[in-house]
Amino acid sequence: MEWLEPLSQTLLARALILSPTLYLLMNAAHIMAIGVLFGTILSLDLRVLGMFPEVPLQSLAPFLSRMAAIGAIVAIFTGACLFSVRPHEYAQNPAFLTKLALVTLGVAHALAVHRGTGWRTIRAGGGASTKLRLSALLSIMIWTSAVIAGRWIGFL
Amino acid sequence: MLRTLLPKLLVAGALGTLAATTATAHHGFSWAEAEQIELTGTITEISFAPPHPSMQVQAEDGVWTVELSNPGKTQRSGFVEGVANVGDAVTLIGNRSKDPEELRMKAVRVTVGNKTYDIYPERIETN
Repeated sequence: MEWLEPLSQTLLARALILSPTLYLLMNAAHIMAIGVLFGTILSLDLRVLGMFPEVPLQSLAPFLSRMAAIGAIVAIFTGACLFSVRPHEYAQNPAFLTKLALVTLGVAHALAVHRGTGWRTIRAGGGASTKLRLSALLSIMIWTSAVIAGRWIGFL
Repeated sequence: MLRTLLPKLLVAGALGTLAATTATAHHGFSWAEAEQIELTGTITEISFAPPHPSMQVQAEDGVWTVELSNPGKTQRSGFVEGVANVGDAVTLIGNRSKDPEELRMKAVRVTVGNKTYDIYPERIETN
């Protein structure tokens, strides 16, 4: 993993190392993005699973999934910035690698759901299919695991 | 396919966790001995990268991992990049790990050359 080391010499990494305030702001941005990502996904998944049936899924689905996508993009960007400060160390951290795999899995799963017929049905005003409900359950499991793996990074 | 992959990933993660030997920095001093020690050696590695600045110090009994404070507190003590480098002789005062096998300490005072940096001035017990 030595090849990652030049990352810590980039202007951004150097700035984050020299300024504890900049680092904490980046850290806060990462947490906010995760909050948006997790909060919107959990809300959508719970709605798909049957909670709050009075809220129309047809309008909720595009809104919450787009918010989740924005959260994911910002979280990945800020995460990459935080990673650049100690790339060698993070790349060897099993919790970090597990988190990376789970985030990849979560994003791939969300993209797959968007291409499925279950998603098209709710966009057209229909109800959630059993398959879509299973996907919602799986989504909650993946993202919860990703957050736990992420928090675990500092405890190894 | 995805549903069978997830448990595998979690198991892999758990095994990785068990296999991990490196420990990251500690918050507070509860993991360390109450009594402070003095350690003298040569810096072999030093990093000011957040979240926890740290260094490796070659002493007579082996290579010690020396934890400093958080980046802001460490910086305010004057101990910043450039004041100490790999190869420099260093004297540290701090609290060592309660695990006698572990060569690890949290430094409250760092001395490099004739310069002293008080990382945790309120904790320094000597003098």
